[in-house]
Amino acid sequence: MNEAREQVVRLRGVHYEVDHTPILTDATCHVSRGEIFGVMGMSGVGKSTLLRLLMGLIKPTSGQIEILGQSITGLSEHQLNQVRTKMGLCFQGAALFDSMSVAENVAFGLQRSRHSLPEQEIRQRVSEHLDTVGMEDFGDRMPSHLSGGMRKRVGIARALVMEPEIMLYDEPTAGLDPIMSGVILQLISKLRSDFGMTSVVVTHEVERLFSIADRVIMLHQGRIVAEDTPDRLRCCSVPEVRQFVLGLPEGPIKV
Amino acid sequence: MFAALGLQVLAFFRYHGELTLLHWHTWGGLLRGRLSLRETAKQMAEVGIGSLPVAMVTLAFTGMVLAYHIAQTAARYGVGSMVGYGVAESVCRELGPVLVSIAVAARSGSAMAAEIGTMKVTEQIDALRAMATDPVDYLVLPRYVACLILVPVLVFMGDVTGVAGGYVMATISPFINEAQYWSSIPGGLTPWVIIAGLIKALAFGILIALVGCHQGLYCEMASEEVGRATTRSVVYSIMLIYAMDLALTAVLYPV
Repeated sequence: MNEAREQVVRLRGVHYEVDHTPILTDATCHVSRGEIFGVMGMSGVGKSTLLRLLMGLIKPTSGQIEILGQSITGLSEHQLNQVRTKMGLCFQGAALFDSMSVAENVAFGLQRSRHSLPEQEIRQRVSEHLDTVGMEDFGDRMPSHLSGGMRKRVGIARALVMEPEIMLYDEPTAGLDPIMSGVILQLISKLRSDFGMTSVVVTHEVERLFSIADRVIMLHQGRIVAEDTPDRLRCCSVPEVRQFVLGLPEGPIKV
Repeated sequence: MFAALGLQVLAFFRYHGELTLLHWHTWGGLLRGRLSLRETAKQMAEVGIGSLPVAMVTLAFTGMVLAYHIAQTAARYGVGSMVGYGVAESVCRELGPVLVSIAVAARSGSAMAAEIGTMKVTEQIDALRAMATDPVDYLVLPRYVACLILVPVLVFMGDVTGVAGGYVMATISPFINEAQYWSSIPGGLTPWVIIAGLIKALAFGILIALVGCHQGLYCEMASEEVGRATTRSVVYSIMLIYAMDLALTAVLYPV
């Protein structure tokens, strides 16, 4: 959809391998500004690797990755940090700092930011974002005292508080109850409609992803086997997509 | 066999290369003013309070045992009045710096490896990087500065405790004259012996912080690896302290 919009994420022929084992092969795709871009596929097909590549946490073996018009493949860690300030990553396991309270976790990025805000404003913003994910009463708790779903919500608040242009979500609804999953997905849609935030959402929950995504790619064995709108993917003839979308036990995807 | 030996040699040089790079990176952060005073204070409390009891108990007993041995030997050679000097010289010149540093490596160096290793395994290090925070600046630098300052302080306190331990033995041993124990020290012990011991402590402090943090940062992504990294941090620190001790002894006390 809307190819004329600025492409804020671009992958060209991206290949990533570990110990000569390919994890991602010849990945080429783009994400436009304000788009909700879905990445689906079985566990272990390279979905999380794709997000780590976009964030510059790992470097591709070959190929080009552009974020906001800037190639990040040759950047130093210091230069990458400039790009990362415009991005947010919500980790699959939340990756909260376990030596800090919930509020300290959410405030961390703001306190370390070069343009540091007054303490009062940081507290205000932290409170607002914890409220957004329904965690306003848990600011003083330590992460070890939270459930998996609560940790995930704090992880989302921690990434959102920096007001990034591009948000990357790694399994944002895994481990959450259906109501909270709905709240998180609604939040992702709202961030797009209110602030034009671009989102890349990695998940294997097809229906939830299709309910919010503009375009979705499917990864299988490290390759992009389909890229289309949710509606078209529902009736896609690619066997892997068909099997995955319909949840069929038999097909080209072996479990 | 030669291939295995070659791999060991390569691993040895790679390890020391990584330590050197980490040291370089740490100083880069220090010179760019990236030191967090809050984190440093926290680490100083951790290293100081954590290692103080074990270091002082070690030196107190060492001083007592040393006084006992020296008293027996000194009496045989007719220099029984020099026991205090013998204890002070041995403790300040060698035993204080080495034993205190080993105690700090066992107590605090291992804690650094375990804490940073756990952060690595639970993606907290990646979360720091994703939030545009250099893990070396945030995690290594405060620990480095804490060890740099506190290991010499602990060694000085250990020197005093060791000599005091010897005095306790003097009060209960019939071979040692209590008054002569103290009076023999100022005439024999030179300030350089104390200063050289503190210079050694400074170098050992750097080693403990770098080895502990390196083991954490380079920990493999599995929880059992955290345990291995912790053990390695203690073993490698102690080995490097011995090697550094020999080199510094040759430099500080030239023939």
